[in-house]
Amino acid sequence: MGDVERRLKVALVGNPNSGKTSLFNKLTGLHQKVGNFPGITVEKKSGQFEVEGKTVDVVDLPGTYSLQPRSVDEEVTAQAINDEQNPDHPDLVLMVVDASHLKTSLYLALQVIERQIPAILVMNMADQLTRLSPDLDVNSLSEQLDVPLVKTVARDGNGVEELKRAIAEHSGKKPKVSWNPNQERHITIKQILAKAKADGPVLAHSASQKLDDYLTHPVFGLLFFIGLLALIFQSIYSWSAIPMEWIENLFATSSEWFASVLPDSFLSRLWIEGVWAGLGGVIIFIPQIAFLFFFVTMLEETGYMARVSFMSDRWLRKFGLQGRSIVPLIGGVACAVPAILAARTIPDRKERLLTIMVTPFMSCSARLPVYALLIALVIPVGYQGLTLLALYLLGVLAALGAAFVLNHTVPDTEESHFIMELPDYRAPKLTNVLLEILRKVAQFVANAGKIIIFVSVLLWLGASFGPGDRFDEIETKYESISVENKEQLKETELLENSYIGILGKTIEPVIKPLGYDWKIGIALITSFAAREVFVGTMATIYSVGSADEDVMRIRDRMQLQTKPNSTDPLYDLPFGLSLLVFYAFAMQCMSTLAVVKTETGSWKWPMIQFLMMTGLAYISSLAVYQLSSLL
Amino acid sequence: MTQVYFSESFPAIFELSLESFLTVTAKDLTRGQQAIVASFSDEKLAGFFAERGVVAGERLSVERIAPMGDPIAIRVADHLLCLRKREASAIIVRPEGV
Repeated sequence: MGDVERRLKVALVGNPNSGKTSLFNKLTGLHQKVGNFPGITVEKKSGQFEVEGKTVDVVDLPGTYSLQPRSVDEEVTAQAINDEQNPDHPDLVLMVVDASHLKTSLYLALQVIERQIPAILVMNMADQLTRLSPDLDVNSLSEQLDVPLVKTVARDGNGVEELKRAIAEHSGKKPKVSWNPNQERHITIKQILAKAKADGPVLAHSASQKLDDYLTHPVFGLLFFIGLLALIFQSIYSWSAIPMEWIENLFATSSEWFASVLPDSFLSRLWIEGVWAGLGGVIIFIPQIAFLFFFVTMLEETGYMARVSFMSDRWLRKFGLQGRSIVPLIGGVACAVPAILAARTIPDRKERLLTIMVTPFMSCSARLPVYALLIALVIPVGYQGLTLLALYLLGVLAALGAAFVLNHTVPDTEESHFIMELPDYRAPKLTNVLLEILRKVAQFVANAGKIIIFVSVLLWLGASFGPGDRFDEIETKYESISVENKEQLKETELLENSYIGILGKTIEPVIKPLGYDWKIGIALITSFAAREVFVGTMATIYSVGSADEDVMRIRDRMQLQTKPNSTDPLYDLPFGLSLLVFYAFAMQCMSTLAVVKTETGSWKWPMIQFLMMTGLAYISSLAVYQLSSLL
Repeated sequence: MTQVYFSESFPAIFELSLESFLTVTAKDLTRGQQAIVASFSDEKLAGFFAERGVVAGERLSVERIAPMGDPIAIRVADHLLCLRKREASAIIVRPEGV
């Protein structure tokens, strides 16, 4: 372990948009890992590279404008630099400055040098210098700051090898501060830049301004944005269905394979139906997460995301949200899990929390199979499409309404600010986008994956076992008789007598006022693994067949059910409306709760979210059922 | 007693009202109008702005206004900053070429 001790620790420090992460990607390639900084949910990107026989550890500290922290992200950077005992305190700081924003970037660089930490000034986007500041004397800049200077164009990889060598050859010398640290810093910067012959304020790219004339235009801008949303929605919704089907098939085939090679025992069934199925439930989200983050990262990389926030901030603010909340809300229509991860781009704590809390109200794709079955069951032909549309609108209204209420109940810890740079537009770099997708997927599997597999095992245990020897009795009973659909009838009776079945019967008094019987109770409980499990559960209860359920056959079977001592259908319109509303509002997704837990750092918020959503679902369904029963 | 009170407080009231009447902030600028940053009326925000290169003496102009009139985007120092009107009202400016 002594070797590890002597490794050089290097940290990247710079403003947001300085190209820090591009540089990190170029330095480390695939030798990187993501995690969280201890105790908080700020993403930590670390990695390593080899140069001249030495291994160098690199950490990409969150972008900041100064070492006086103003957000959780910035605090991480400030602590790592200020506190020598901090595990992330670097031996050497790479101060990344954007050549086209020298004046602003040097503010942070000066603070680092004043802390007397060995440093290298990395002048990124150096290709801009010929256009912006052709006379700049980089040697003078390097001498005045008393640190080595390396020019890079991180996006193209130019200068990265030179930077690696500079890191290897750095003597570890602390820079000497040649200015008066008590003088106002921007005056110091002006003096330094004047001495280094840097030119004055820089004009914007006119192309960027032209593009903004259209993209932030009240009409064209809005149309473009709606078109883009439609594309994102379409891709998450339908394109990802293809790889999701592959994953489903892969898990189905491999489960069958396991079943054929493993002996029929408790352990093999726990492995196949609990752990392996749970893992399938984690992997299945990856295509949606990848698609959503492909778009989110592209929009961030090009600089367009900042414009979307700029345009939509005003009306989202009325609900306690902000411009950047728009992406999670739209993404939530596909799946709340990646959408909640996307809320990380919101710097304000309260606005981010509110976004995370209300995003699951948006009708996600897992609700669709449930809607399809119930609409086919109770809604007359001709009104079915309209009902589906109404359910989606209901989700949007609930999200905004909940945000409005939370905004007036959650205390403000700090005043919300919306001061954000609108960077010049630039072409996205595919490697950056792909690495970001990889990081997000890895984080999801590592964080939420554990919880999802755990709950899925728990649900399996609950559905596969019953108290006492009830299961044995059923087994013996079916061994002695021979009827049609024997296996399915047995499955149904086993589920009825399992712990989950008993739980379903126990909660019957609670859900009776909503118009549900204990069978629906079982489906509500198993839906907690994922909402679409409702359909599969109904298939099991009504002995329709195996996992590849046919919605129409389940519907036909359910339509035949009648109320006790009557010929009226058991599943009538009031029942259907009530259950539709319940599924629209209720929090029935352990994956979402797991992600909310990892994103907010405690179980408090997922619990509140669960109570808020399920409470609203209960009250609304009660009202719908009771009122529509009267009519 | 009354006279002392009046004579001491009158100029203060006068100054205060005159000042707030004459103060122009970044929020009051029209699109394309240029101005020089004079000072800040909120210390915490002043810190925010200083880190982003918005300090007294810098020239700024309102480049864009969001569809509903808020937030606004100002060109200042070497970048384009988007901020809400409430935050813009903390930047006291001297308009140019009025």
